Amino acid sequence: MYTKLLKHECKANLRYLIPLYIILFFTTITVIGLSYITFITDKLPFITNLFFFGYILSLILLSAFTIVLVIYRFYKNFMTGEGYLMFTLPASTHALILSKLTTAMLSIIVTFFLVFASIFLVGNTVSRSVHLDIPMQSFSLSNYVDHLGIGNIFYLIILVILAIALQTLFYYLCISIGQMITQNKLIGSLIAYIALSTILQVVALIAIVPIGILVKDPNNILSYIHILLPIMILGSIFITVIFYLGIHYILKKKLNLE
Amino acid sequence: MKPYNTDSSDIILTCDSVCKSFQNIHALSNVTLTLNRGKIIGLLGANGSGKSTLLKLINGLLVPDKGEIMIGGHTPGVETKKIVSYLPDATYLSSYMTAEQIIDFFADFYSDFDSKKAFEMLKLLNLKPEMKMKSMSKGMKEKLQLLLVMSRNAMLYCLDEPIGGVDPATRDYILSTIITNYSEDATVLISTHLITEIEMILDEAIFLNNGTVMLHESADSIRNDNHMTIDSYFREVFRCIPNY
Repeated sequence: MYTKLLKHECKANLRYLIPLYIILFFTTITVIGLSYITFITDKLPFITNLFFFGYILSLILLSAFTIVLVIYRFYKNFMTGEGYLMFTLPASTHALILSKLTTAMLSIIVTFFLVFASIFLVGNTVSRSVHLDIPMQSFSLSNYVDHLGIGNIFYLIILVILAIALQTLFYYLCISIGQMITQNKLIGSLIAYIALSTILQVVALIAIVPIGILVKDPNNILSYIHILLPIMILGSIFITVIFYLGIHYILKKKLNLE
Repeated sequence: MKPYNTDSSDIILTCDSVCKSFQNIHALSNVTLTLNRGKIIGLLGANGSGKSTLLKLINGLLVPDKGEIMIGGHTPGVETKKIVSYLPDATYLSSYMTAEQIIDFFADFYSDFDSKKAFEMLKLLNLKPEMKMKSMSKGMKEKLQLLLVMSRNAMLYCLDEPIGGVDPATRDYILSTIITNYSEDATVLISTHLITEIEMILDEAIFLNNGTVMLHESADSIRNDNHMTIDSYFREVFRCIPNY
């Protein structure tokens, strides 16, 4: 059932994302084309700058939209009338949550990959045409590998993936808590968001204390990264599991469809 | 109250002292029921009597505070969802999907779903497979949702207010669809407050008031013993209850 749910959820997400990815493709091509024209002929600088501004805006909007879509799909599919369909399918609550989470993470990762790929492509040409002096090393992956080491790069990738999962499950948990309140479920979700954010910040502050003791030279924090990254990964796994179990419990035992 | 049906081999659903409360409101109190296979059973009661709550408990959308529900020998979960077909009192389909996509969705998830029957019923309704949910009228959506539910070869059909809020012609269509499309060894549990419209198709009736089962008898017994229709007897029973 998990794969079936995943298939349908991906289809539902793609109908929103594919048009936006196509728009991103054309805005990227347009900005690169105009930048070359300006760079070579020194013409159309105003239009190029205007398109560049629009391009940056489109990157921000696409990124934000993907996050909003992830939240919207969970709410619409599980907390509104569609919940009557989803929660009466012969699928376990684990399958329902994991299919949503997997699709959400894939959507976010693909979006951000495309955004960064676009920035990388545009960065090479736009920096010269608008006279921005961006050091080319910032676009070089090998530069990061040399600085941080392949092991730490691997830890960072794991941490990024965990951060996406954690943040997604955080939104899901806020919505799940909010739906338990019969009146004003959205306000309940907002209150849950504020309360959980506050708790997380307190936990983070408490967690920093032993790290502060461990790091003897704060000016050279990169030398501790091989210790810090695994600690952060373990902490993220722990919080992710807590969030997941909370969502599972609420959806299985405390579902409150209108 | 003595359970109405006691032949264990034919039992599809049992509720044993089921209680459910919401914020100090007792939606269901000590509901004990036994439903046999192959019957059309009316779950009758006024608005707020606990009908929808009971159906949601049967379908695993709610968890009882006390008591137990068993369907085909299982508590509500993945196994019961394979054999129970549920029509909620809400539009539960995605507005952007077409009728064809929805039928494919059901066929994908339910092994007992009959796509051919669903498309035949769609044709009888003059609904085009490529028509989107958001283009359909309320009546069309109700019919589509019903045909999806009745296209499954389930052991228990739970229909929550299937004829509420639609015109008389649509009501007749819905009732005839229910009768002609369920398999004879399946049980249909229909919740409604529109008793007159539905009583002629009922084998049994359950009267529910303030979360309590007042009566569970065969439709013929109610009519013969009391010399009145089920609707009239329902009014009689509840007229005698203070604060009804």
